[in-house]
Amino acid sequence: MPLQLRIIAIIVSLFFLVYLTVLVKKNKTSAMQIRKWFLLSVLIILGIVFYDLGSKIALFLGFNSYSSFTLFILILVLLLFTFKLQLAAVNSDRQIKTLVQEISLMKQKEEGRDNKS
Amino acid sequence: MENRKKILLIIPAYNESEGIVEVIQNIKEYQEESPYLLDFIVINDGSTDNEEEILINNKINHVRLIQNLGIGGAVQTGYKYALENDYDIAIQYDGDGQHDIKSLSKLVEPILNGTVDFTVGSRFTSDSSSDFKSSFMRQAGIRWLSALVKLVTGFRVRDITSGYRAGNKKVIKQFSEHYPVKYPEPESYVYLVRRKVRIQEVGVKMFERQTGKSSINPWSGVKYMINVSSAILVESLLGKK
Repeated sequence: MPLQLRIIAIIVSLFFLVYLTVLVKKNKTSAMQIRKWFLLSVLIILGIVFYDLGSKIALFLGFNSYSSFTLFILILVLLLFTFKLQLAAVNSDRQIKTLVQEISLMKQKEEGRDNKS
Repeated sequence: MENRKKILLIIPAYNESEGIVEVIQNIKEYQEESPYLLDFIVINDGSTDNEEEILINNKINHVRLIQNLGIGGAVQTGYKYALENDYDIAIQYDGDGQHDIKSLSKLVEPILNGTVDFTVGSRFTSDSSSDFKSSFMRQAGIRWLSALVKLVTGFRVRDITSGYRAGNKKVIKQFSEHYPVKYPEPESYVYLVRRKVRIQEVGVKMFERQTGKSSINPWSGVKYMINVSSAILVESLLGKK
């Protein structure tokens, strides 16, 4: 990987880390919620800093190049993140549905609209 | 001492302000002549027309969902109401005038006899008096889904998208806890068969939609077929027993 690209990648990752820190400080999110992205950014920086070690690992695992290896890992990680988000969204949907039903039934009871025969 | 079973009509209604009063009027006329202890509950699924105003002004028993949940969520609310109020039988009944209230006894009698837990009102059985059988494309889609459910469950339901269905307390409890959200009618058969619910298809009369608009058009029809087919397959492979 050319030196210029490595420097750009490190700068972008550092900016992202700073951005995440600002979000936590401003209470727009919590450290717990963004820890995955924090770790990912740190891993990217480490992967660039220890480029030679990374290349040896990639070759050992059968990848043609370090770039292919990092792309593969990143896609796997992002797929996992997406899947977990999907599960969380489905769970939220279910909870919202239950809440809407329970609140609506409670309101119906309170407003006394029962006209049972 | 009153020994009759309590029966609840669950009427999901989304933007049915045009015809809901007539639907309820037909039910009330039937209530007077029927031998059953029959109640009804309209589930106003977050309608954006003046359905709520009409329900209040006409003193129609209803639940207004504070957020639109779709047909699955609305019907499940009805089942929860049935469970909370200790109904013995719950019947899904469309709020758009498609279902014939006079066919109700055909749905209810097999359950009262104790021979089955769940009945499906069908346009396609030999004992159906329904002149309305839906368009050619819809019938083709219905046949496909029916064949798919038969393949995965071994059980054949001809009118697989029929929303005119009745269940006993066992079914009420199960549907209160779990009811498919997006494509409830076809998906629910896989769920019920797995739980050894006894199902029977009975001939009923249905009419063409009197008011409101169907949610299925040609483009969404294709998407519906693909989505429902995959939902049935996944439910059969992964659904819990």
